[in-house]
Amino acid sequence: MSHLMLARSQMAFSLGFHIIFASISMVMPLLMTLAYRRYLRHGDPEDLRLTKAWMRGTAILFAVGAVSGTALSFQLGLLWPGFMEHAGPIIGMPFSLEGAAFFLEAIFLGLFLYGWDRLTPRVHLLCAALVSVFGFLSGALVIAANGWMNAPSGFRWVDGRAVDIDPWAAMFNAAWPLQAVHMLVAALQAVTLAGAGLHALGLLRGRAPGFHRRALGILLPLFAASSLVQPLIGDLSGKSVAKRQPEKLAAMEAHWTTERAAPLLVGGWPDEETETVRYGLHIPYGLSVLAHGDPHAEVTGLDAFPHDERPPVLVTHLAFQVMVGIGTLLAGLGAVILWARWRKKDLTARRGWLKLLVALTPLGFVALEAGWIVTEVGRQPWILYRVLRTADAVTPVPGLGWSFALIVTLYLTLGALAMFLLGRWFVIESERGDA
Amino acid sequence: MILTLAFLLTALTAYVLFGGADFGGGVLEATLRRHPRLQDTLQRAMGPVWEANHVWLIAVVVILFVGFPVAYARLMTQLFVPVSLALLGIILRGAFFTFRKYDPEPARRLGLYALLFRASSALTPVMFGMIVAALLGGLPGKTPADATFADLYVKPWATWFGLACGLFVTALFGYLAAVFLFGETRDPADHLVLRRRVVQFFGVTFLLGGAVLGVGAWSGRIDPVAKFTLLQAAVQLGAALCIPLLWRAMNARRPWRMRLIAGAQLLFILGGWFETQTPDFARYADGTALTVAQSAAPPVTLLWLNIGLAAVLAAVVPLLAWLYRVFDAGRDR
Repeated sequence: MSHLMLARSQMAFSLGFHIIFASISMVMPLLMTLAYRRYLRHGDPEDLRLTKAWMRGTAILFAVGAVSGTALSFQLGLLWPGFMEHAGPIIGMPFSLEGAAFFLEAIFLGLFLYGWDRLTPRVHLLCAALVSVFGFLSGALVIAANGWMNAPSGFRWVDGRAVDIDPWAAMFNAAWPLQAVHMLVAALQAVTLAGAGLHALGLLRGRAPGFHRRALGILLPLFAASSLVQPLIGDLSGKSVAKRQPEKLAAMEAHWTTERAAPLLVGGWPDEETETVRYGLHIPYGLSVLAHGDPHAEVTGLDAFPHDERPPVLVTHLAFQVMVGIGTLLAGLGAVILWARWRKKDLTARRGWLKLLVALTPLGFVALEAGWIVTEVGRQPWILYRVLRTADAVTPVPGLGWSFALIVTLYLTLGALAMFLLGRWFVIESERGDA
Repeated sequence: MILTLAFLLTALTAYVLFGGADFGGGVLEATLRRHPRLQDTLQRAMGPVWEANHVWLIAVVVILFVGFPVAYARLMTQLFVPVSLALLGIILRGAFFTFRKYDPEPARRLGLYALLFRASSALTPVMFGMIVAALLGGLPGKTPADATFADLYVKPWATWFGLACGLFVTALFGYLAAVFLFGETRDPADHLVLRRRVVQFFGVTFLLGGAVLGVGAWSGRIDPVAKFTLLQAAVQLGAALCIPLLWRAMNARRPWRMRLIAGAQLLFILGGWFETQTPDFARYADGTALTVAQSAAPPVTLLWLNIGLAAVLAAVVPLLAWLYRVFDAGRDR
């Protein structure tokens, strides 16, 4: 692998790892809060048991998220000093505010985890809720920085240097709002679906049906709601990308030539050499409608860009297909859940339905990762869109293969250990049976 | 710029004080093998606060890359290896502390958890010390064309002076942890053990402090005579004066007074370092330097950063104080 590819792979792996734990650290506290609130209202000890079970999961996964996030704040400089030297002063505001949000998150988490016999229930519940609030806030703020890489603003680039810096204009860049909402909703989907899969498994095993059913009662409505809004947000995001980063959209769609009434490509295997797509399904007018809301609108193709400014098409397109495919599936699932609620049918009583949930456990996270691949690979060759190339930002330190190997070994071990511990707790809780 | 630098040093001081005591906790724990009850006390005391303490490091990094991006970019490149190793320690320490706490059957894997927690708690402060040593004249300024990887990225920090600084920081953190833990128990037998540890860690820290000065002077990295300003004298005198005060507080079993005194000692030590270091982030081997002024971000960034940091501190500090108060062992009395 080339030096640049090693740096990119290490960054991708670190981000891809962190994003899982960061998503869980945002959503799990929310779930924990909901369960705890129900316990405080009705006094049912099973709700307390669920709160504590989710709390343990939160504690383990939060720690992994916190340390891998700390590593990222260093890795930005370790791997991309040429970027951070310019980006730091411009996009520092959201980073500073994110630091503050994370501070508050850690404080309230400490208070919640260890404050059971030291705080009044009301204050204790408030602490749990604030962990979640500041978790989502810090997630949104970090995405402001990523949004700025897609839609640079708040400075002028003169002779390889940034001048006329406006930190607030950089923070409130055009890509931020949609990207943040898209991601936070995706985190909600991924975590609630994974949780639902695990608790469905517990229900199938049958030792503590009350406990697992209660968990599903909190998870499934949240999952259904988030999965039904996500396609709308996704559609708006696509239109925004079409306007701001036409080559990214073209790569997502493997759309080679600029044309009016462009068809939508579903599936397919793009070949960048011959600029063709094999095995794809073309839906007439689809892309023009989705990108610009008009069947005859012109959609910019990759041919409008020189070869050295095009993103990798194969990876971007496949990741996009995976994300959209899963998103559609999950929206359908959400619709079924809502329909069942409306008809007052208890889906959790059907083994087939539970098995389906178990099978789908990781899919939300797969879509989440695919989405990040789309946005990151689709921005290449730029680290800062149309301002700074990734190749010009990379560290001069050689031998990145070693640090890459180290971080992969380390994270895989930590991830496996965290999963193992959660698995042990899961078995223990399931075998304990209902009270 | 001065204000931003003050925020940076404040965050760094808070990290060394609070985060340092947490790393020291791992080092201290390694010396408490025959005192399982004290190990439990240590774990319980660190549990609620270590993550909040850890965030000071993120504050340091963020202030550095927003306020002093040139220094951040350059130091992350030149110190790639020791920073990566410090990170390794940070990741392992946090993960294994939590894994042990939340393992349903911790006894089964206690050996693994304890080993990794303790080893990583020592690795990070050793690297911190080596990084500081490298900032004091260790890094190469201009790089010759035929420089090897070792010349550029290993030799500047892997020095005897670096090792002395690294061990000094590790022992200092252990000392802070011992003083901190003293206030977390009221058992006379525990106090006897911790008293010994406070004295031992102080002794080792003191000797290693001498080693830092000795090796530094011998290798020409610091010049204790030429650098001996009035401020340095005051700082060292201050740190020394704390010793009898701490001894009296310990005999009187006044844990909070002990903590304040040890904190003051740390401030004196850091003050001495900051004074030596100013006005440079790094002093290079060839006599040139990476100055604070040449690393600073444009004024508009610094202005907003300062405003933001003031607001953050105003929000965070009272909440941190509340966190510590809620979990202060003295409250159970």
